[in-house]
Amino acid sequence: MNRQKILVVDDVESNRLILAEIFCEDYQVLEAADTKTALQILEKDTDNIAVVLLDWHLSGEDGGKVLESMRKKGWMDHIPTLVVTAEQSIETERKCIGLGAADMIRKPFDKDVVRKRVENNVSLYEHKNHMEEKVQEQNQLLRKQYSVMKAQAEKIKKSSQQMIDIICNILEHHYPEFDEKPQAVREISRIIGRKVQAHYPEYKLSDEDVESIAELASLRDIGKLLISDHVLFKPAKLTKEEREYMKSHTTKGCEIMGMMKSIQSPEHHKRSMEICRYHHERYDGKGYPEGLKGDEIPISAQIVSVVDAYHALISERIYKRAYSKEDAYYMVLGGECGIFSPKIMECFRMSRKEIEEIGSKERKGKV
Amino acid sequence: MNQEIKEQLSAAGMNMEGALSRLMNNEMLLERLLIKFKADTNIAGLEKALEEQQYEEAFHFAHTLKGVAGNLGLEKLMDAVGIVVEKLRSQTHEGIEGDMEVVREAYAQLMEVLKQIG
Repeated sequence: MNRQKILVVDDVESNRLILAEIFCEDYQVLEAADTKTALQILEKDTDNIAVVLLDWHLSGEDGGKVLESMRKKGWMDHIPTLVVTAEQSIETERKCIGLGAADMIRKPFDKDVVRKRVENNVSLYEHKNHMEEKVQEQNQLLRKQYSVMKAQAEKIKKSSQQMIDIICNILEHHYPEFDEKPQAVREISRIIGRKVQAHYPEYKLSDEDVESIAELASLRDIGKLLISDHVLFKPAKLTKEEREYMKSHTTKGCEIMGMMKSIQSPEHHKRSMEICRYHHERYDGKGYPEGLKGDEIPISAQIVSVVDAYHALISERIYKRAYSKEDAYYMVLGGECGIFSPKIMECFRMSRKEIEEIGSKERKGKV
Repeated sequence: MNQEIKEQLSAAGMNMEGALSRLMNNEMLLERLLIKFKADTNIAGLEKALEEQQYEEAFHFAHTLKGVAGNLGLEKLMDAVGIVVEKLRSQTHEGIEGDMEVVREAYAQLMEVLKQIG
């Protein structure tokens, strides 16, 4: 028992002495002759008082005042108060219990009854207080575990991102045809994605959607790993058959992503599949592999497709030099590298300055 | 307290056994409380309040007196005061003087014995 004190509130000294005599063996008995003293003692010793015995008819005041103050201070939840009264009336009992008294003791006392009542209430509240502490402990534990789980989820997300970065780096080493700067593709996709999110709510893009599209954009050409080198790196013009074969990098990309299903979240996986498969579809329905039209093409693929066109223009390839950003901008707008939805074109226009700034920052970084 | 006084108190309507049991058979404490009771002002307060027809105050004094008497096992006094308490509670003051006479008698009887101690 950690609360070892009992508070007796009664204006009649002999009543206090009698109760003190009954409880002095088991408790340290504190006495108060009036409301004010009682509340002062409670304030000072809140955590040590196991039980309050309160006389209902304090001279000049009402025991109810003590109960009300105890309730306001929140003490009542932890300390049982037993009202002591010579009243036999049910009204008094109703009032006391209504004000939050734990129990009643009738005068004249029977010492065994008084002891038993006090003992019962003390052990009940002890149990209750103990349970509350336990619940608090458990809550803290849960919060801690939740934060650990959150950190782990974050870590898993990060490692899946790192995995994708590693794949992109390998691609870059073996095939200079791929992005030399996966960072730039990610940045441009993010900028355009945010414009779509802000100006075209009909696509219902969340912050997370935009972020995942940006992250996964670099995977769009992963299917080229399954294209034979003699076609992929052929320095001459491709034959009709070779062109068709080359187009299969979209569906082959999905085959590879299918193998990575288990390391991605379901949303990321779905998005990766969309991007690989549909980033060569065209708004007018003349793209491949399926000839989807307009908004049949998933928004993720629409965004990545304009990024792909623009990025190809500003990069150097085996068969072409790099265009300036200005030229590339007008070539995309002019429809020379694909047909895009007017909404996407609008977003691309709005993004021009931001996109060109990425480059300048990068260049500064390299100096 | 000697046996003779105990017998006299019993004759004056005291339940000695009950009172001692409440006090964990601490006879010294009982004696101290009885001596204190001699100086108890509730009876005087009750008389004065009734005289001035301050019935609410009278109720409080009577109530306290009943409680003290009960705790000390002064059952005859407690029962007599109890009647007064109930009348004051229900605010029927008829015949209260007669009831007070019974209270005074019980009180005087106790005081007669108690003057031998303390």
